[in-house]
Amino acid sequence: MDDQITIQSADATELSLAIAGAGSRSYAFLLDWHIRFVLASAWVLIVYLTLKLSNGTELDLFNNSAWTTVTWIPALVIYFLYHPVLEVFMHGRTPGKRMAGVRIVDLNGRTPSIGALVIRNVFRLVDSLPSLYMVGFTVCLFSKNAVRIGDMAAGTLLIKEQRATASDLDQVSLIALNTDYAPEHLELVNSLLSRWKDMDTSKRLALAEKILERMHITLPAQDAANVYSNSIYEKLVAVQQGEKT
Amino acid sequence: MSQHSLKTWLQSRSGHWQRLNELLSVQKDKRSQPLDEVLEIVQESRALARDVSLAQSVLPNSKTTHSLEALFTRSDDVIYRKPQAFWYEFKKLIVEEVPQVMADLHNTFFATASLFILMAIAGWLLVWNYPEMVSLFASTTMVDYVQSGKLWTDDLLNVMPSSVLSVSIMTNNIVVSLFAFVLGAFYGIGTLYIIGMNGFMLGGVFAFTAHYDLDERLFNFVIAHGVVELTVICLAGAAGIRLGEAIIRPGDRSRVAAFQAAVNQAGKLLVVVSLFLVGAGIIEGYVSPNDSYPLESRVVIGVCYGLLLWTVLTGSIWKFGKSK
Repeated sequence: MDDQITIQSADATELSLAIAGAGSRSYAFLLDWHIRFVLASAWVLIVYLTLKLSNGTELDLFNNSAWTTVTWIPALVIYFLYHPVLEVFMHGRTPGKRMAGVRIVDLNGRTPSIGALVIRNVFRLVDSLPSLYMVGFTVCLFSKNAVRIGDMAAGTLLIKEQRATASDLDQVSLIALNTDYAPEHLELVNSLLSRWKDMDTSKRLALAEKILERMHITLPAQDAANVYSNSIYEKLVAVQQGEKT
Repeated sequence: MSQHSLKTWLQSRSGHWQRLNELLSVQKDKRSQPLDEVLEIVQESRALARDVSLAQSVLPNSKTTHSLEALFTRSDDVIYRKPQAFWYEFKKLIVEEVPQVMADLHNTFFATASLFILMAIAGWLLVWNYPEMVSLFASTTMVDYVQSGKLWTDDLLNVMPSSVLSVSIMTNNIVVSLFAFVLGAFYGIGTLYIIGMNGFMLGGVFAFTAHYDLDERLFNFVIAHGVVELTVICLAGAAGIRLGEAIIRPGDRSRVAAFQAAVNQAGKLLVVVSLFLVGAGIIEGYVSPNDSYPLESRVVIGVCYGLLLWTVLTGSIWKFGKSK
């Protein structure tokens, strides 16, 4: 179970947000590191190849010419401004954070201000000491809300992003329109179906049998293992869709 | 809540949740969003707040409740997100906030500058009496240059163009200033180290060049950009010491809260001084290594740029404009 932080909205609604721990943070950081490294390297490669193909000049990347400026400065800008710029424009996210399912929020659970996002990035200078983000990682392991020094300074934290997709809300509608079964039972069916493919066959069948029995639904005849499994699955889907079983 | 009531509630509300999700999904450019849609988002979000509370009590830990919470978090964020009025915020920062911070940091700045000067004197005394000690902080190339009667800055423009020089110098200065600030997080000790070392090195290098009668030429090189650069390092140091003080003496607040408040306050100063470092980098790249600028013009550039920094930070430049 993830650590939670409870926030209160302006409407006095209390919400629990799952805090992203050191693992999720590191995963997101590694993804971002690869992305910015590839982007910066791609720029260097593009300039190098453009020069070589256009006038056959072999660019010496370290000879301090004007081309060196054109090559290295944008690459360094991409590498070092990747986090602050994208976090501002993507409202507390970066491509890596999005892939890892985490997001930066302030202590009210909302998108942090530009100032806060800049501050948390400036403090990377401290968090990255002495190397490989050792200070930041250690502080993150032991601090409340699993934050690094930059987050403490900016009043931000990383949460696991919850998303309400259209299909999630469709399922809620199905529960509402399904007049035959209790919403709690339908919740269980939805939950089981959403995890069906990830579960072990015997465990999911055992769980499905329990749920169907509790709903007083007759179980299909015990057939060959795969046929029986398919029948149970079809039964659950029928219940979810509100079809008579 | 009975099964029937629960069903009725879900039936009556699910369409609204779908609609809110739809409105939030198409909301790309907020400025061009029709007013009626914006009002609809606000109304639906308020109604959703009540639904979330109800769902939390009647269907705790259910997928329905989690979906509604996620939808509410998203709508709440969209409604209460601060407008990004960049230029307005920037003007407010420079005209109102930075002069306030500066007034507050006045004493800390002078204490930091005093430490810098004291360490510069200490460095000067050490290297003047024991010139070989310069190797503690100066590179072999630098020492070789001075021993052959030249400054290491003499060939700068032969090694790299002014543009590259400016960019590398400004980047380095900004990083040093940011370090002087953020290292304040270690109870201010990191900041004291950066300020002390920079002062010590400056004094030591001047003493070493004085041994070879090159100190005047070094002064000639430094004066145009050095006034602002050294002031900025001391200002960043003062801001860093304020961080350390907040952690050591948080007052009524928790240490984290005091640290956050100090970062928020002193950090504003760093935004403005970093911009001045861009100018200092340009001067150091184009003016300082260029022999065609006589000492007088270098002094005028250095002093005027320093005065500009000081009047902007104290806010007197804006008062001057008003009084006219």
